[in-house]
Amino acid sequence: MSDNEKKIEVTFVIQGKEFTIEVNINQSVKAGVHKTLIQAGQSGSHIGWELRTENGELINMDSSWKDQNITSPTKLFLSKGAGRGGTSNGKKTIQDQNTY
Amino acid sequence: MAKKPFKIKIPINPSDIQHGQVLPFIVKNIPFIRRRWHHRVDADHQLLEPRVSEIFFKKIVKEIKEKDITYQNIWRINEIYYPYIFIDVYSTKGKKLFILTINLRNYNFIPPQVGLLTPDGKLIKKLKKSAIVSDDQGIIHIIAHINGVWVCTPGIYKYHDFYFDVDRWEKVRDDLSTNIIELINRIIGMIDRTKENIVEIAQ
Repeated sequence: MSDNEKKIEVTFVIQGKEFTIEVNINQSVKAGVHKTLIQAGQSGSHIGWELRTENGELINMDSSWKDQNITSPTKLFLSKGAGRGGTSNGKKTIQDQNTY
Repeated sequence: MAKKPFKIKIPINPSDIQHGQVLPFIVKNIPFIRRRWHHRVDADHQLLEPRVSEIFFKKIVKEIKEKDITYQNIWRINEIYYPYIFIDVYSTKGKKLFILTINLRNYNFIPPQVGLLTPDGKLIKKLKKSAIVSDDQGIIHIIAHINGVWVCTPGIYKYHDFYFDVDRWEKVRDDLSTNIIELINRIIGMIDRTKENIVEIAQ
């Protein structure tokens, strides 16, 4: 099988439940995320979600599996991002600037 | 001479007020209003009948116990007794990094209160800057505060207390984003677990 067709099994963990799908390593990560979110009964959009390895490294969902050096079966953790709030180098967030 | 009490004048334009809104909550296009002087409460103020919050507590504990096996290389339950849950969080090398405490005394009338403890149980007041992971917008959500660190994200008491008027807990308490497993993983994701020593100041 050529590298263009190489597929791997990726297990996504969402809220303690595992969802395993097959992905082409040249496809974007977010395509796999969309598929999994639909399986998990979520909206299917990757926006607002964070994908991490077990070591806590954040995966760029816009790049391909290959570009993220994920070319063998792996387990990843999908959860909602921090969302609003927080601070940036002591400056108030956009939300603060608008509403405080 | 005694100082005059500070008075706030808010120019209110009726078109800025949303339907059904209770003033002085959200007034659009007002850059600065001191609207956060609301009555602050915390878990020391026991607002909810314990028999009620204990029902929610049991539901939360059941969910955590069902799902913690999936995350055992990242976090594990340390101890549980009403209204507290203690979660051990591990570094990528398997060393206990800190303990996440969750106080559900007034849940779900009020969001869970969280705190971070050192592995030997001391309150973490400040984390090392290098140990805090910012989000994709460059914003950090763990901030040093008077009584331990402040985790500033929806679903956590201090966030909804601070953004009392714009982000109401009542609107999101049944959302996936405020689910207990989500919260645990989100908080842990804010800390760099490849570091072995993350504490700057502990009590």
